[in-house]
Amino acid sequence: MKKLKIIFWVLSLATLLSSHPHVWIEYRINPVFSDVGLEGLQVEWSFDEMFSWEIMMDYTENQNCNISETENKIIEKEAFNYLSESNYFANFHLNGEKKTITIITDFQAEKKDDILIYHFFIPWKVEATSKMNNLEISFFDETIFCEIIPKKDGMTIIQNDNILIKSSMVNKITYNLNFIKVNNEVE
Amino acid sequence: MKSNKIILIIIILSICVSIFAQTNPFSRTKNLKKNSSLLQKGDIWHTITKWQKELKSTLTTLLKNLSNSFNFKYFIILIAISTAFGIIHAIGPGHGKMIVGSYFLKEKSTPIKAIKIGCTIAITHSGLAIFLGIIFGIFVKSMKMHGRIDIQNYIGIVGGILITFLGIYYLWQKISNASHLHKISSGNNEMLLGIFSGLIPCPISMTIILFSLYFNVFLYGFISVIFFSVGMAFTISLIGIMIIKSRNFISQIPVKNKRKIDNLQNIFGIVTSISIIIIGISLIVSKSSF
Repeated sequence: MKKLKIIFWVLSLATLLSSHPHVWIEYRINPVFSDVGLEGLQVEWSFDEMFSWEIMMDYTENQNCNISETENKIIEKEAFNYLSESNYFANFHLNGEKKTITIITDFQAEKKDDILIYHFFIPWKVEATSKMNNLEISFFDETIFCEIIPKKDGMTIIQNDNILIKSSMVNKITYNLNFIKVNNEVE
Repeated sequence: MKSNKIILIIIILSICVSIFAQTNPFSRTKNLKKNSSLLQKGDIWHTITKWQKELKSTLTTLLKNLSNSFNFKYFIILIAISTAFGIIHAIGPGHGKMIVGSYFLKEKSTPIKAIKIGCTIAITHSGLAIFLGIIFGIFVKSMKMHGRIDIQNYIGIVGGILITFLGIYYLWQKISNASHLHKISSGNNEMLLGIFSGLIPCPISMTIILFSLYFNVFLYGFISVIFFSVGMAFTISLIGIMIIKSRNFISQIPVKNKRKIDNLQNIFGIVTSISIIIIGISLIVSKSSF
């Protein structure tokens, strides 16, 4: 058993050293808040032009036209849903606990200036309380086939009167988001 | 002194990071190998991948511009960008560097052999990418990304099997001390190693070919892949030369007990042969669907 473990770790190390990116994704993420707390995350992924072309060549009739509703469904099925196995590259932690994504809604593929953009919403309800909530948000592909980096304006937060929200960057790919319920009652 | 050498060897092995491409997560749910996110958080990693992103983007724009009309200036820039892209892309993990590293650590070699292996990897790599690109772009146009990735994975499995057998062969040579066998095959060793290591087509090279076929600029795409491979050959050869130099440096360190060092070298030869086998097996595992 011990030998098997050693073999496993050696193979894992070899695989770790085998990876390098072939696809580049720039992302934007917008946390959506209601009066109650976090409702979810609106995500936008922009692919590099060559990969964009590859997806559109495979799954659209005419690469010069906008993506139709039928094509959108095909792209979602053939070039997006598989990512559920990779947790959609999401590395989200709420107060230190990792979030597993089970549902994605409102998937929309868009073509803009020869770039393929995926828009989708990750529902994630977190009630704001008097205790500070801490979210760590980043995307990374654990196989390192894709390099996923935030855009310059990678996170936009619409402030809410009832919730105090603060964001910062932990490192080049990770956002840190703190939010707490604000007591607005006037005594 | 001995511990210093071992540390140096470990550092060299760590530097000459390893094997090939991996499964495209967009097209497959199977066998996703999880690697450390720490790598992606590092500044050096970000800088290298950022350069690659910029180079890939420029390459795409140049190919599209050349599809409109020939421009000599663009053509020269295309060659320069493709070469630079190849150099930087091969700096990252993969592309047979671990195999090349293990091979040169295993036995005494020359810089010429490093260049020979680097070129063989690049020729095999680009030749296969061009071949598959033509097949996918002209003859089996209906094949989607899934099918293309599957075929690349099958070739990867074949490459992994061949590398494993080569590693077993090297190990057998070391254990049985069959020097006569080595003499018979020494001329082909680098060639075989280079071919087997280059057997996995890089998705980027293949996409360039497909892209250029679609925009009717196959010749430019072809030239781009050739120079991309020249860049890769440069990096792989350079790393091979660095390892050979490091190995020579180690062997030149004066040591009192020469017999012990000889034993250590023999053990090291066995260890590096085993590491080639492990790389081969890990390649088979990473390309298989289980």
